[in-house]
Amino acid sequence: MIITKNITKTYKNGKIEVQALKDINLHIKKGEFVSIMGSSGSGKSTFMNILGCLDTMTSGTYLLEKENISNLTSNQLAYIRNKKIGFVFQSFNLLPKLSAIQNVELPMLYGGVSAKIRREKALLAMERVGLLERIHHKPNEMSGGQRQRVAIARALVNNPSIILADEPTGNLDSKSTLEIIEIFQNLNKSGSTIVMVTHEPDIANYTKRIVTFKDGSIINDKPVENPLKAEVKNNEPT
Amino acid sequence: MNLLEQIKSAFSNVFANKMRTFLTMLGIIIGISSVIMITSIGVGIKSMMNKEFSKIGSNLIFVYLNYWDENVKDTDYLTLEDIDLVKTHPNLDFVAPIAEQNAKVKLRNNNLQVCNLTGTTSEYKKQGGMELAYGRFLNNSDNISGSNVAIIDELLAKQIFGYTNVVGKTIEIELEDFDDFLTIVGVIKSSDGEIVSSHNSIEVFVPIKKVFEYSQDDNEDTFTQFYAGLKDTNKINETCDDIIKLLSISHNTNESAYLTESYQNQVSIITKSINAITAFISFVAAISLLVGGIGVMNIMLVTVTERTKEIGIRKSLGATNSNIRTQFLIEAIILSLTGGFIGVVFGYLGSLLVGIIISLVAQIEFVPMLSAFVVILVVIISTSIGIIFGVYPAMKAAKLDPIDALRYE
Repeated sequence: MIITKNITKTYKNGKIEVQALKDINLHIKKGEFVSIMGSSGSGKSTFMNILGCLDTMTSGTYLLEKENISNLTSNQLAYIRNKKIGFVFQSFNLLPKLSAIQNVELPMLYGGVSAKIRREKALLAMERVGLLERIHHKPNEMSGGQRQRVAIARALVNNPSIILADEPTGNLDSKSTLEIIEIFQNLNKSGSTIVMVTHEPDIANYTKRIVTFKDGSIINDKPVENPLKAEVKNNEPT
Repeated sequence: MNLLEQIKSAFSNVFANKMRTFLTMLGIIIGISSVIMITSIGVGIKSMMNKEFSKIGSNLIFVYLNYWDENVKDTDYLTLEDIDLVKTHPNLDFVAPIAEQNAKVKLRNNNLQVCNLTGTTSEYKKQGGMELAYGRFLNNSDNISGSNVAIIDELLAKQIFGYTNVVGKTIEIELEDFDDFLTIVGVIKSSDGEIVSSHNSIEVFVPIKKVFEYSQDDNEDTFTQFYAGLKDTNKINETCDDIIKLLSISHNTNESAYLTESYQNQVSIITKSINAITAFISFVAAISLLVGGIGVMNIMLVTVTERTKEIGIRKSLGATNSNIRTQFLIEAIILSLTGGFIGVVFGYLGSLLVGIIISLVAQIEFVPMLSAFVVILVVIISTSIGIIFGVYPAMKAAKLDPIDALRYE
């Protein structure tokens, strides 16, 4: 599914060169739920951006579903972001002027999907995150947990190869956090591959594998023996 | 993402901030409405001119002796034989001589009114531009005998008799040495509210031989000008040349002794001047369009900066650079095009208002005209402004790095 070989990333800040990533080799299989951990500045976000085709690497090879991403044009990268990658951000990144359902339809708009099918697929995605009754609400009319669920619906609506979540629970209270994790676990159970950046070990224990970054290198990569199962006791949406 | 959806989304973005959008469009609105106003008034004036001139007759040419020329001799003056000669030209419908004489006419209260005796023939009627209210114009026997008849207009009739149907009445004409009595055979409708008129002064039409009789000149039975009516107006220049040749040969003189003028040429000269003036003022007004365009660019740059985060989000969801570029370009075009349309409406309303003022002040019927050509031009100009001043901000938006854009707060 994802194979990275010797990925390096060097930032030039004036005369000083900062090596954000050094020789990252990682193999993520289909159906995995991986958390990427590390303190800030460890390179985990840079790695996520490269995985998400938002950033380019300085050297190395990145294969996504056997396709070499290393030397693609910006249009080809946009296409891959659209079709193969679903992003979930810490700050939700919904467009405030659009309703929930319009936000979810947005990736399909760039994918050239017809209006009718867009609406159908967006409704399905909203159903999967349990927000069917809120489709016409604007983001500022929803709670943080609900917003993040809209963002997840948007990420999975194009049926991507991989869902990349960058600290998806960082802005949420514990109850909403559990809800989101539960959704991720359900998505993973039904076959989605998920890579999640987090700095909270508690959260990482809900995933199946933990990869730890430090100073631009992977220092630890081990499976979680008994992943926790997220269950929200009170099933009322917040 | 298809164009229609881009346009729909651009509309909602542009009109999300109504006050700002309006202020941005204001420059375009002012520019376009001034251009529309000026051209509508210009076209209106032109059409009014054409209408007025066509009343007189676009087929008319005016031939006159060049008496400012030192070389012109007494024998060069025109005679009734010349009229008969010129009339033989195949492209001429009629030829009407004009001999003028100043006189005074006695009014009801015994006051004297200065008037212009125009001696001509029955042919004169064919030049158009006058309409009989009562009676008839000069006829053939008047031409031959030079009978004591006159045609006056309604205004003069009222001054003399207090009413207009005065056919059969007699007026008293006072000349330098003697008086004469003329019988009115026709009354012409007074032309008011027209800016071009063949008879601005008080005119009394009489048989040309009557004027010869009154004339104190040594050079007897001559005159200096005549009207000729063309059959085919396309041959206007050739016909003018022919007439001058005929006259100069017959008088054995230089061709420079006679001059011609046509209403058609006058109309085209005036039309050209109006066109030039309209174009010039429009150009000056169009400068404000430049200012408006810069306003559009300014606000688009602000918008791009404000929406950096949005651009990042859209890119992360798969928007290509060209998707983003098109989005902002369409927004700029919508801004300037909407401004253009509002400008057309305001400009036309403004020109109607000016038209009403002109009509009231000048006592003429004046209707400004909005031509389809100008509207199409405005659409093209507005779109071009949107594109020209929208390209740079749109390129800037498209070039944003997705990660930097996503991080922007």
